[in-house]
Amino acid sequence: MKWKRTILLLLFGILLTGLGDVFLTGSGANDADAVFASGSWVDDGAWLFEESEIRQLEEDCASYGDEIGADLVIVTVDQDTNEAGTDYARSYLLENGFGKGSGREGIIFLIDMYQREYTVYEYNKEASGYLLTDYEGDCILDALESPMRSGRYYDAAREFLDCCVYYAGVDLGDNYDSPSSLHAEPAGVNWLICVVIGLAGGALITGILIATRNGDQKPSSGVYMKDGRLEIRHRDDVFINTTVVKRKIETESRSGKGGGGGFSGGKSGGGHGGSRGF
Amino acid sequence: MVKNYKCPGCGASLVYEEGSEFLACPYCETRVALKDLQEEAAGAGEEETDGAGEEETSEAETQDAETSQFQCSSCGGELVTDAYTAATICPFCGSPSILKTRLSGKYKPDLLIPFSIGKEEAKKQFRDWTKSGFFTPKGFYSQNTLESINGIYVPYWLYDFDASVHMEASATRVRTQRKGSYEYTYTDHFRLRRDTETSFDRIPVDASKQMPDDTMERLEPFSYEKLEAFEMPYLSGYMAERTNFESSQLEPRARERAKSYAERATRDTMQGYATVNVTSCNTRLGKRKQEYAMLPVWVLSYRYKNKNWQLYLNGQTGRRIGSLPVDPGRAAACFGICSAVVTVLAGLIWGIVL
Repeated sequence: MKWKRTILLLLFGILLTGLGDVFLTGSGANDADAVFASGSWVDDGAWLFEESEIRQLEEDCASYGDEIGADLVIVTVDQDTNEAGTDYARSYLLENGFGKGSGREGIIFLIDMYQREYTVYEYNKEASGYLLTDYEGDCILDALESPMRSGRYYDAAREFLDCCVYYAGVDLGDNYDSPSSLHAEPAGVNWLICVVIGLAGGALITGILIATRNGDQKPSSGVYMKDGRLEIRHRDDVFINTTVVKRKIETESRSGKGGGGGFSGGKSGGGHGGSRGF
Repeated sequence: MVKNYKCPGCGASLVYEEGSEFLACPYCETRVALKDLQEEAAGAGEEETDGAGEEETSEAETQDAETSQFQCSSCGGELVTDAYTAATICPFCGSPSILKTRLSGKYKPDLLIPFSIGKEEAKKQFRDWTKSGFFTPKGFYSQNTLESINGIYVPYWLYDFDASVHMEASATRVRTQRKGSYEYTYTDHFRLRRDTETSFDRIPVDASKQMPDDTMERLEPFSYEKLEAFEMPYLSGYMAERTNFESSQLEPRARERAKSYAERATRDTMQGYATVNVTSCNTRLGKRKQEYAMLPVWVLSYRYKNKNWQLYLNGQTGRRIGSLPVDPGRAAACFGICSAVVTVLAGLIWGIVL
């Protein structure tokens, strides 16, 4: 009988553990999303973050994501994904089961160190369910440009989270810092440099005008050439070889280091996003 | 011997009338055809030229390495010249004097281009010139003093060359093609070779130590259609120098110019390439002949604010070479305006880029 009691206790324990999970997640067994959302929101495959930074980002992804109703995911890779940034980001969200609510809303920030490109992608089954408009997506890409170019990847990740909350229109009170890009003073025209350029240009133009006002050019060779013509006795234009340089074209959404890739693709639902080089 | 062409009417000195075939008397307006003077000279013998209308006096009593003294055939005044002067104007009576011995033998020019632009026209050109240009001081036209204006026949050596050039170069032609999401840039490499031949006629090199070489080169070109066989009467009323150099001394300068012209012309046949890099060039020049010529140049010396300036004028084509003074105020204004415009443009471009 002793062994029967042990088996019953074991079964009871297993049952309690299962029920506890259900209660703690608060979503019930019929919510398939809960199964995937229990994983990590930060996947630092490119080793860009410190341990402490990952912990902090995980916490914020979880808390901010709950507030805005979307899974916020940060992924870094350092190998050839053989896919465009937006395609990989979409696959990552779907294959890892991220997404909240009926539309499985999720926003991912992908840093691809192999292609030196970053991507922001939002998934939702329905276009009407997007938290971000294309314009807001562009604004996030713009906001990430500065930290990404200067190699401050953690700052970029924090900026991504702050921007998502800001554009989702959720007020998180004192626990939340609005995106630093919104506080940044727009880079103005440096008039001091313009004046220096102006003075140099003025001096150059004035110098050229003064130097050339008296200057008649010396006669050309044709003046003294007999009958003004040159007789070509032998003419050879021999083809040697051809060298080819292959270059990947930076498309609108993958515009390379120059920036400017647009957020697009969301009109019919299913997902929209954009990538930029850094 | 000092030669002077006298007016058969009044006995004054005749001077060459620009752009014509006559000598004219500035006082009684008598005109004497150059052809008549040549015939008279021929009739009187090559060296004995005391026929009607000509007057000669003996050469200098004293002569040293630097200067020579002659006696003016009109007033008897002493003409002191340097060793190269071939024709001058008597400073006492203003009569033209041609130092015949300086233009004879090996110093006799082969060719000459007569003056087409006269003294008055040269003055007018000078006045127009002094009024031109934004940077020219406002009062320059009225304040400058034209100190001297001299029509000078400048000695030149004219060289004919045959040139052959062998030039090799590497060149590229670039084309791009788009395939899918990749752009292919094809660079076609070529080896070019040209063998060319050309001839140059009468490349001029000034043979005067007095004249700045660069300025004389910029006064070119002269129109050789007006080139005449040299005749002494053309010099009457003008200054002239005999050559200061032997032909062989100036030939390297002419060769350099011919070489440069031939190579540039050959290089210009390599068209249609994105880049052309000349890898080797071998130029051979063969001199056909050289000629000694006198070409017309006006030299105007003027003074402005205690500084001397000069304007050179091609006596045949009117081409002007000289330097005008710069008004500091106008230069500063130009600098200010240009700087302001460039500053604003830089600011606008900066703003647009940002």
